[in-house]
This record gives sequence, C-alpha cells and structure tokens, in this order.
Amino acid sequence: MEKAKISTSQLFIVMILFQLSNSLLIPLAMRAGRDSWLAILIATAISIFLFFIYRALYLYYPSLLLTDYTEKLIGKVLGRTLAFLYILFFLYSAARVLREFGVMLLSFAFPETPLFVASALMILVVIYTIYKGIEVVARTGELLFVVMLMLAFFLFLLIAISGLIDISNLRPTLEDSPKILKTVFTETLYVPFGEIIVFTMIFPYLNQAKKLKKTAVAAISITGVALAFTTILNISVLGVPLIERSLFPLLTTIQSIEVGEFLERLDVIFILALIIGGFFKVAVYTYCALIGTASLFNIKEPSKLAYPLGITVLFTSMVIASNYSQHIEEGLNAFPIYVQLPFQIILPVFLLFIAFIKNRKK
Amino acid sequence: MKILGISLTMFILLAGISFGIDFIKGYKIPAIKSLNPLYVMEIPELAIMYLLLLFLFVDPVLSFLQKKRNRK
Amino acid sequence: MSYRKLRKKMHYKEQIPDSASDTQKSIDTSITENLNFIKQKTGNSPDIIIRTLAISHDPKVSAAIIHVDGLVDNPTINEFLVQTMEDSVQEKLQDEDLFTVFTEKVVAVGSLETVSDWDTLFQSLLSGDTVILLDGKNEALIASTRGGERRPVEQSDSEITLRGSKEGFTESINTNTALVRRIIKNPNLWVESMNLGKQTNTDLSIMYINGIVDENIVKEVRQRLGRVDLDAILDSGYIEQVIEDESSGLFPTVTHTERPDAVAGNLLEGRVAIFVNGTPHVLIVPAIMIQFFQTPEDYYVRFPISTLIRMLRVFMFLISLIGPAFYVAVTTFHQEMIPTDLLVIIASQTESVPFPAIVEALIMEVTFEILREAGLRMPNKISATISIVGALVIGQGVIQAGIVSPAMVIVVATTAIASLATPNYDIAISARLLRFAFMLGAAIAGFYGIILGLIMLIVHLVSLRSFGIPYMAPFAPLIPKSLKDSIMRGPIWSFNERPKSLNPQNRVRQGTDQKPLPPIKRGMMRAETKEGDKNES
Repeated sequence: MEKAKISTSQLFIVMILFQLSNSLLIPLAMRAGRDSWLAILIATAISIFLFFIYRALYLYYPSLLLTDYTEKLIGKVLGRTLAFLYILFFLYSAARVLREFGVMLLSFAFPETPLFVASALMILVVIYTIYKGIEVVARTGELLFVVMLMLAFFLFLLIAISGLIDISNLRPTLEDSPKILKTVFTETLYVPFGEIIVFTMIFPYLNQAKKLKKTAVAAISITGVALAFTTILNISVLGVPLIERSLFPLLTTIQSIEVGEFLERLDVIFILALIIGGFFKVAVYTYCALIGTASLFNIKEPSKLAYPLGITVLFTSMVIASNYSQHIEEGLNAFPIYVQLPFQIILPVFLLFIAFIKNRKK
Repeated sequence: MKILGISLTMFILLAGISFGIDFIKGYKIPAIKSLNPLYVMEIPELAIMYLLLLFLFVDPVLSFLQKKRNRK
Repeated sequence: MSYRKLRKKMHYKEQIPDSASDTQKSIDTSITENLNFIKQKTGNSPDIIIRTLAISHDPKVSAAIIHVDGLVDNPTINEFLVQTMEDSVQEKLQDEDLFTVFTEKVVAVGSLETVSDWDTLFQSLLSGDTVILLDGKNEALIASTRGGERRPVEQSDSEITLRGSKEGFTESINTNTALVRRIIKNPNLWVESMNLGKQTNTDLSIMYINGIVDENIVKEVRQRLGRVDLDAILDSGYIEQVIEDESSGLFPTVTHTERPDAVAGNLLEGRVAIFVNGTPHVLIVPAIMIQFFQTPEDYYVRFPISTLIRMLRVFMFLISLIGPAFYVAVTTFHQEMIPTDLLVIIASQTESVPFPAIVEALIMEVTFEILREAGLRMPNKISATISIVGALVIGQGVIQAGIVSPAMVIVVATTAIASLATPNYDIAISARLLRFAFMLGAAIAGFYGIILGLIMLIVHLVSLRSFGIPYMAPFAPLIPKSLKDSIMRGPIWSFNERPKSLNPQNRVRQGTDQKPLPPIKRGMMRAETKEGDKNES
C-alpha cells in the first residue's frame, strides 16, 4: 500500500465514475426488454447489500487490502492463491473493458485506426496515471467528473429540446416479472454493480472511515438511478427493437439528436464522456491489481509495476476473444456466471463467514 | 526481473482464463485462433507493439546497470 | 565534500569567497599595508576610489576613505564623511581613542559598523558602503552609503492594469521591499535576508507575514534556498529553477510578479515572496495553477465582471492549447461534425491545398512562432516592417499561393490571439509548446488523441505540487470554500477566510458582515438619532 489518503468526496466520485463508465455504453439488462430500467433499479438495491458484505470485511481489517486479509483468513497458501486469483480477475476485467472501448471507438469514429493502436494509446495514459498513485487517480476523477456532469446536462437538454422522447415506448411495464429477476441475477448485478468489489482495495485509503457507509451507499444509488434514467432515455428515444440491434444504444440515441440545422452528429463529442469513463475504469482496475501485486509479492516500488501490468492488460485485451461478437457473447453468458459470480459474491460471503467465526472465537 | 516474471506469469494465466472461457462457451476453435488479433497486424502496429515490448526491458536494464555501478 | 558540508552548516548566513585562503589574514595596523592590499585585491581597478586625508597633525595620523564609484551616494560621502572629517582635523592627538571619536563625533551617516576581517570589508565595499581605515588600527569602519544610479519606480511593462497602483518593482531589492512595506504597514511583515551566488554575492530576501503564513512553508523555502550553491544569480529565474518542485515539467510551480500589490495580496493569503537583487521580478511561492489566470486587477473591479473575465481567460488558454488540434481533428477525421454548408466552403478552399491539414497547421504555427519571436526581440523601429511582412506574407501570400487554406489562417490567428490573452507569460508559453503535441495527437487519432492528451495533461497537473500544495487546488482536491476565489471571483465581502490549501495560521480574514446593505435595511431611520454609531472608526 502506498502512503496516501483520499477523501470521502473523492471516493464518492471515483465510485460513480467507475460504475458508470462502460455501463453507459453497453446495452444494460436488455434481456428484460422495456423493463430493463426496473431490473437496473432492483440490481442497485441488491448491490447495496453486496456493499455491506464488502464493508463488513473492511471493518474487520480496516487497514488492509482485500488481497492482504485473505491470507489472514484462510491461511498462507490458500489465502495467497486467492489473492493472486483476485489480481488476475482485476486484470482480466480491465482487459475486457479496454477491448470494449477499443471496439466502440473504432466502430464509431475511427474505422481506419487499428484496434491495437487505439488500445495502446489508452493504456499508455492509464499507465501514466497509475504510476502516479491513488491520489492522482482520485484527483483526476474529480476534474473529469465535472466534465461528465456538464456533458450529461448538455445531453439531456439536447434530447429534451429535440423532442425525441416518446414515452409510449416504455409501456406496458412489468410484462414478465420473472424475466426481470432472471436478468438481474444473471447479468445486471455483476456489471456494473458487483464490480465495486475492487473498492475493497481502495477503502483502506479513505481518510474518514466513519463516513464510508453514507458515501458508498449514496454513490451506488446515484449510479443506479443514473443508469436507469439513461436506459429509460434510450428506450423512449429508440424503442426496444432498435436497442436490441444496437451495440451501443446510448451512442445511437445521441446520433439521432438533431437540433436546428447545426447540431447534429454529436456522438463524436459524447465519445469524450465514454473515453473518460473507459479510461477511468481501466485505470482503477489496473491500479487495484498493481497495489495487490505489490503487497502480495512484496515489491518495494509499486510504481515500477505500472508499465508491465499495463502491457499485460493490453495484450490480454487483444487475445481475449478472436472477434467482438464472441467477446460480447462471453460477456453476457459466460463471464458473469463463471467468473464474476464467484469473485464478486460467493467468495466475499465465504470470507465474511470465516472472518465472523474467527473473530467470535477471540 | 522479478516484476517481469510476475507480469509474464500473469499474462499466461490470463490468456489461459480467456481460452478457458472460450472453451466453456463451446467455441470449438483451436486456442491459437484466439491470438488472431495479434497475427493480423500491419507493419506500423507491429512496430508499436515491439516498441512497447522493448520498453518493458528499459527499467530492469537500467536498475541492473545501476547495481553494477554501485558494486564497483 | 567537506566544503559542501561546511556550506550547509553556514547555511545562507555568509558566503565564503572563492579565494578564501587569500583573504584569511585580518586587517593590518598599518594603513599603507592595508591600502596596498586592497589595491592588489581589486587589481587596481580605477572605480575603487581611495582618498587619504590627515586627521591629526601631531602625531601624523592619516585616514583613508574607500568606496566604489557609482555604487555610492556621492552627496552623503561628501557632506557627511569627507566634510566632517576635514572639519575635525585635530592639531594634537588627544589620549582618547580615535575610533570612539570617529564613531561618536565625526562620521555622521546613518549606520556605522566596525569590522576586522577582509571578507566582510570587501562584501560591504562592493555593495556600495564606504570603508574608513585609520592608521594604527586593525579594524575598519563601514559607513552605509549605498546609492548610485538606479531606475526609478515606474509602471511595469509586462503587467499592465487599468485600475490599481501604477508602481512596479525596480532592480533594487531595498526599494522593492520598501514598496511592499508601504502597502502592508504591519510589524508582522517579516523579512529575512541572505546572500547567494558564489561569484555574484547577490542579495536575496524572503518576505512573509508572521502569524498568517504556514511555518512549514517558510521552513521549506529556507531549506530549499539554503541548498542553493550557484555560481551566479543574475535574475530571479535562476532561483526559480533551483527551488521548483519539478523543474523538468512544462508548468511553472513558482509564480513571479512585478507588482507590489500582487505581492501584498499573496502575502496576505499566506504565501512567501522571494526578492532577488537586480531584478524587478519577485518570486511568489507556493503557486497553484489557477493563480496564473488571475491578475491583481480582478480584485479591483466588481466581481461579476472579473468572474467572467477569468472564465474567458481559462477558455482562451484552452483554445490556445487545442485550437489548431481541434481543426486538424475535425477536418481529418470527423467531417460529419461540420454542418454541410460550412463543410462545402472548407472543402472548396482546401481543394487546391497540396498538404494534409496537419502539415498546413504546422507550417502556419511555426511561421507564427518565428514572427512572434522576431517581433519580440526586434528594435521598435524595425517591428513595423515585421508586421507588414508578416501580414502580407502570411496573410495573403500563402493563401494566394495556395499553400495554406484561409480557414487554417483564421484558426492559427485566433489561437495566437488567444495565447496572447493569457495573462501570465509562463503559462502561455507552456500552452504554446503543448499545442504542437496536441496537433500531432489529433493528426494520429483525431478527437481520441486530443482527449487522451487532455486526460494525460490533467493527470500530470493533479500530480504536481508546489511547496507541498496541490497544484490544482481548489479543484482537485476539491476545497469548496476556496472555489469562490478561483475561476470565479466572489465578492470581496465574502472572502471571510484565507485559502485553506495554504494552511494559514490565521484563517479569519475579515469580519463576517462586510456585505453592504441599503440604508433602509440597516435601520438608517433610527441611525439619524444615534450619530457615530455607524461604521466610523
């Protein structure tokens, strides 16, 4: 761990930016059809419980990272193995996000740029950021958050003015409630909400531990509401059939904006928001892998890990799937069940159970 | 060197994980096909890739030279 | 190594001149010996004026007055030294100590010191003091007679304001500190002086307000200055470069000003000023990013106006940073963004241009930089020629020749003006350099390149610190209370606290009820009966 502290407001912003980043981009909970926004809200509520599991673990070891206290909980060999697996999980998630953003960029704005170059440019900025440490990540977040807010406001204003919103697209609600729940538990809960598991690596940096609960719950709820709102916007502008065919519904929504003769094809500007989000998520994931690795392998200068780990993420993002449809397919059907479910829910619950027993004995 | 070793191990394991997921999903393609994106690169991309890989060794070499100098 | 250690121990108090061994011997009793030594030391330089006169006839005792021509105030020497000494020539030497007579009765200048070593003697002599040697004494008197030709206090050329004091700093450190003292009449305004530069022995002062400034900052300043071991300090720029946090970076982490009111304002916020003799530029530390977009005048005009102007400046900075890059990105990668009509115009213009947008932009930017540099160093008489050549060659020639499209000329000209509108030259110059990096980024990856470049810039900026203060405060880390004097300029009556990021000892700046109210709200009606109960002090 580095000697640094972040404030509650910084944590709040980092959490929101982190969760919003690629979830704004990809079709979220689309299996629930026009009720997907409901699925998102339910997932938000459940993820707050999830947060309380992570927080309970943090409260047992307030000064340790997740990858540190696994060792204390389940022994040296098992604990270290688990910690290593978590680091791999973080890196793998970073690589997935990087791939998604690379493809998004190419398909929307830069059809002639090679994927590798786009990803490499992004990862170089990420490397520079995590090289500077968590304080810089948090402060960068603060500035970027302002940009995001302004863009969001601008976007909503434009959509409202252009008169694209068609509420009837949202009706009827609650067609198929079991389907909604199924979507929640197979998909939405893990991306983006379950991903707050990475914050078990950041909570120890918080300077006011007491305010953690309020901050994180606020951040999660705001993210949930924002995502649900975005989904409602997408559905009401595009309608469900169009969204199901779209790889990136929000960008399609933005593309359909046309105000006056002048303001059209604004998606290029809003790619700004998406690049910021993508950058931030990759940076946070890679940073958590970095400090985890540093403490697990006892590396004195964690910043030296920035470049090798960044390159690892870059190459993993290249080999993660041979094409994008395969990537999306895995992201929807395999990754959540086989990887995210155990790492985000089962293992933390298991760890909490052990921590509970161990501390009761004392 | 230690850092590079760790990173390489991690990359191999991560590649293994992604092949594993491919396998679970039943993509009946040889693992080598997953490396496709790396094979279809053009020359400028390859140049960037080798440059990035080269930079990996800058730090270890520098610290090695430093150690050597210190010993003297 | 030992020399270094020694220096560290000595700190900044005193300098050991290069030829320490030579001057080690102390002042002799014989006046001829001493004068010879001085002549030999200074290489018989004719501007060292030595004047011998007898001060007693029986026994014959002579004295010598030594000063450097041009560094001293001549009337003082003539009236208060030579004249009085000649007047008090004694026929017969009394028993009493000559020295006492001299110090108490003869020499009538403000400050008088006794020294016995050559180091201090030369130091004082070369600073403009007058040395008085007496026969038979192994000590010398130093009379303070500093003066000579100096530039008077004038308006600063580089920081011009419409409102506010017209005084600017001069090259004399004493004048400069006095100018600030005239503004802040407070015994807590402390000055510490030191002497740096092995060869130049430049005077240097740090100034702060005790009780407001954070002690740690002063300590850090002292520590960083104590480390300085330069040969020469010809300008405060030398000091700036050796005390900065990150000297390799593009962004200045030390600010400087030529205006006493700017220094005073900064001292009152809890900063430290560093005065260097021989330059009108006074350094101020710690500096944060937003300071470079502020001018003293912002505080003198009403706040909504200064807020808008400050926002305009930041906007101008952004334009000067990414203006051409934006144009390159749009025309190369994102043509769909341009409204069709405009696109047709631009396309018809660029049709005949043989180069891609990035080459066009580079040609124009480099030409502009050359013109600017030429105009800056050119004597005034020739600068008219420059502007004609610039306007004709660049404005018309390149367009008519079809080398550069008119749209590009507009973009570059806008950028140039935006860059000049940034009030601080240091920050404008970093934007000037980064502009080329952004243009390259835009040429490689369009908006993606620009945005990644901006993120990188933000990451770099938030990682900077100036004397321990985060460079991007109060935005990142966010300090809501300090926001009202950042890109915004809140009303003066709302500045109740000093900036938190500077961690001042005394947070309270003013009373909390400074907001002016119309008389009716103050109960003016009743106040008529109670005279003197208003705000009269």
